[in-house]
Amino acid sequence: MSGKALLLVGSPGTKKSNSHFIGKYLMEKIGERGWTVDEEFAFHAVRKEDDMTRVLQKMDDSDLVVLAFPLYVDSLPSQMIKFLERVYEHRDGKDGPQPRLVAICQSGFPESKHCDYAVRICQFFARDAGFRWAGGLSVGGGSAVHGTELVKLGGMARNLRKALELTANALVDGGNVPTEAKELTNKGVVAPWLLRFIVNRNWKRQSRKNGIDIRARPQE
Amino acid sequence: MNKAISNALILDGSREDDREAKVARESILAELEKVGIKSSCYVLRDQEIASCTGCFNCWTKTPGICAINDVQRKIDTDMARSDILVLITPVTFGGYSSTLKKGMDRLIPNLLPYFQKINGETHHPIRRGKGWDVFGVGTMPETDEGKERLFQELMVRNSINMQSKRKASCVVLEGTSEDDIYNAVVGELKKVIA
Repeated sequence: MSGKALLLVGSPGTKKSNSHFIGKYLMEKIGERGWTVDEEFAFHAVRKEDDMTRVLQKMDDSDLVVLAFPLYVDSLPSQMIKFLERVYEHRDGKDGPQPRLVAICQSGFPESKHCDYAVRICQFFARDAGFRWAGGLSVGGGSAVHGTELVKLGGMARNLRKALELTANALVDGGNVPTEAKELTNKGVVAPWLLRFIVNRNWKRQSRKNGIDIRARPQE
Repeated sequence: MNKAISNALILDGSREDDREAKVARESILAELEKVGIKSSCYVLRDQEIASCTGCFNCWTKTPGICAINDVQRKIDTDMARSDILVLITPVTFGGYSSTLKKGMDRLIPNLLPYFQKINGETHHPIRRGKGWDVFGVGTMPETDEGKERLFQELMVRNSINMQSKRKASCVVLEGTSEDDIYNAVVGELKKVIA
């Protein structure tokens, strides 16, 4: 069975974002199973009415829609919420096919738990906007992806790649995001203590390089 | 009154036709004034605020100051001088409206980029070294237990990020009388400011 899958990236970083690289890997695996895959960027769509109209049409015509976005303050970025609000307005009260919807939220923090609330928001969006919820993935340690193709990250992204491969196969076969995939992303990309050490060291280095006091309190 | 609280920042992310949010906002402002807490109140739909671009210049180039020069810089300054953060929003898919979230996403200059372990989870330290108490009001057209629960849990998550000592939230349904909104909202607010 073949179908159409659409990736919607909800990061302001668009093509260079970690969310895009994670979503893109899933779409490649879905494409390898004979599906037609496409991608759009929510941050662009909400700015231009013509783009929004095109994306809404693509969503209506898809069998599967994948939302991939970064965690911003415990939730989705504002522009991604605005995008979902527009999709809801467009689909509210309309009959017709109900594409399946998957959400992938990635956070810079090492623990995946931070993303769970954003994924649940997407589940309510799916229900309200006439999509069939097919599950979500919470990805911790997204900052370790660092704007890189997942295949180039070697063993570090092994669990993440495996989770996305399992998810692609399940979705193509008509199933939902498998529990095993969720468990793999829950493990995070890097051990929490190690990611905290690396991230803090990098910020200190950047602070020195830019000649700034990173702890400055300009409002006082 | 809790003497540790002298300033409040109110971010209202409601739509213009949201009567319940308006009554909630006015009730909160009246109560804060009554107990001597100064308020900075922003009805975000009336403000031209750009969305966060994720550039992190507020951490790496101009620490504490957003690269985008709009009214959000003033909001960030008010945040740095506030003791309590009040959030008002229509409950949107169980979370916050895009209007409220636009203001919230750009509060990050008030945090430090570093990762810190707090109660077993990683969070950002607060730039000024002291957190904010958090109070939230969500409005809903009709009751929906699942969305209401998620909204309340999201408020708790925010309070962890804000390193709050006290937090409270409530949900107001469409059609609730002004007196009932006042009683519900002020009753919960007192849990944070009393």
